[in-house]
Amino acid sequence: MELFPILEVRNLTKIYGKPCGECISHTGPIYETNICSRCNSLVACADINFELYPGEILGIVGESGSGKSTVIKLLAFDVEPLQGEYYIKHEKIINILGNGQKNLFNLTPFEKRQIRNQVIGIVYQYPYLGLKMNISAGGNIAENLLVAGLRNLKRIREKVLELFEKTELPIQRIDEPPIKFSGGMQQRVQIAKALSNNPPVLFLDEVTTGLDVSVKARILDLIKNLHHDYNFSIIIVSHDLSIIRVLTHRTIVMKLGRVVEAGLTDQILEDPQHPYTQLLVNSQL
Amino acid sequence: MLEVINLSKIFYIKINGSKEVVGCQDINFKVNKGEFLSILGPSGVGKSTILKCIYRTYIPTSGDIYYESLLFGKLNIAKISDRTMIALREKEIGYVSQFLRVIPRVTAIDLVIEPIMKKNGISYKEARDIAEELLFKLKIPKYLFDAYPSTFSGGEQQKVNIARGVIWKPRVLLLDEPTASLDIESTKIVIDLLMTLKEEGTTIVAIFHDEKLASLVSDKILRISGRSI
Ligand SMILES: Nc1ncnc2c1ncn2[C@@H]1O[C@H](COP(=O)(O)OP(=O)(O)OP(=O)(O)O)[C@@H](O)[C@H]1O
Ligand SMILES: [Mg+2]
Ligand SMILES: [Zn+2]
Repeated sequence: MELFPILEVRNLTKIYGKPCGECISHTGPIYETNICSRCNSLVACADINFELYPGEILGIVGESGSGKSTVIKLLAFDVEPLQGEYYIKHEKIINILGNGQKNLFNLTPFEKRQIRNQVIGIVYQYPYLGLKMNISAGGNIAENLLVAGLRNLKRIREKVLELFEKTELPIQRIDEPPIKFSGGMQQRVQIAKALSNNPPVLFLDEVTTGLDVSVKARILDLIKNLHHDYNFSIIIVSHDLSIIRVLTHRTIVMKLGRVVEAGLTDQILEDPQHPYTQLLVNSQL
Repeated sequence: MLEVINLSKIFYIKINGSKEVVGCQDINFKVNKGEFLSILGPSGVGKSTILKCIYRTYIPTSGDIYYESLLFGKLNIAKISDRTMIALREKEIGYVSQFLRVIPRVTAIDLVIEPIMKKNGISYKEARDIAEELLFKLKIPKYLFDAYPSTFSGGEQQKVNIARGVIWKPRVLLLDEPTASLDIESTKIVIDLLMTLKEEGTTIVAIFHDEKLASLVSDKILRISGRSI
């Protein structure tokens, strides 16, 4: 039983615009807005706290604009928080940063890039955010391996082939650019790229949104099988409760940038406490 | 082993105004290690609610659920963290729902294998052997092992569900009408399985609607009647 989280987030806040100092106390579900009435800043997320445990799959649900993707982008260092603490406990972190707990938001850009490359795998909601659409699929994946310091071209080629196989991508299309691929295949290329350096933590943002039912089912199978084989820890964002039910252990519910409820996934779905969660669950049953 | 004190569950439904629904009220009982407790009572009286509170699918509104855990010592399930509950679900407390929740594209055998792999970390091959033997005992035809349960009959689904609950020999097993959709012969097989489990030390709490069956199998019976509101 793993009692210590692999990942911890404390007081994470992101405000778009110039905050006036009272944005947080003037927004959120109680005010029914995420826009500060005093300064017009947008509070994308505020006071977010959670832990992710080794091998765990954590779901984040909530309506459009509730701040789910913002949280993922913050954790991937794609955007900077106004405030917050972020810790990952893993030997790969020790390799990069040495011993001792460090708030990952305070690292140098170089250290962040290393962590992003070796410790975190991410699959974005939109493939064009995670992939260079006009260079070959193989090249997209190889880039991650190069950043990690792999230099032997033969070895890189082998590794890319291995990732293609793992994510059930057709090997004969390795030299084609993702722009020519279907949505499902583009997500697979993203997954292959995310897995390239065996990260212990994976972020999946709406991986199946916009895909048709059978493609969606196959991507879910792939995620389930990969999780079974590698036992990494996953944060999965989705507004589709059927995905959350099948994949996750615990779930966080967000509304207007705040966490309104967190709990065991079956509890969230069968005994939701917050009115918003009740509405969400009811409208999808 | 398990002691429930003044357990009540009220659902506060806050969609379109607010509404209160009583799930169960002032429930008290105690089961010792290796005992079999049956819960009886009319439809809608809150039997399933009790089991779901113990399994923490529902958050109890008031009351305590004391459990002597192997991993953590004595604790109050009504108060523990989600993570502790996850550990208990993986290592100690099993739950067999009234109906099988099929997971798309997971075969019957894989559904049955999952809990034992989580508990023991044994290989897929070993787990599969154990699961096959169990499904065989339950008289599930072999050609269904690798099929998807969504196409199974109610009885077959329930057998898969029971196999899933029994295979990993949990310390405590909660069962919600385990034999409701089974014929007499299958019911007998399932009862035999539960009895074997009990002899090996599992504490069992089960909901039945069949009074005779309950008195046949259980050490204790908890009768829940209509409530005062
Ligand atoms: N998740 C829930 N949300 C709201 N009300 C609920 C929920 N679960 C149960 N209830 C209500 O709580 C009461 C008790 O239900 P429960 O399912 O525990 O009854 P039961 O005794 O198991 O019934 P049956 O014998 O018909 O299966 C019912 O009024 C039911 O509608
Ligand atoms: Mg019931
Ligand atoms: Zn403001």
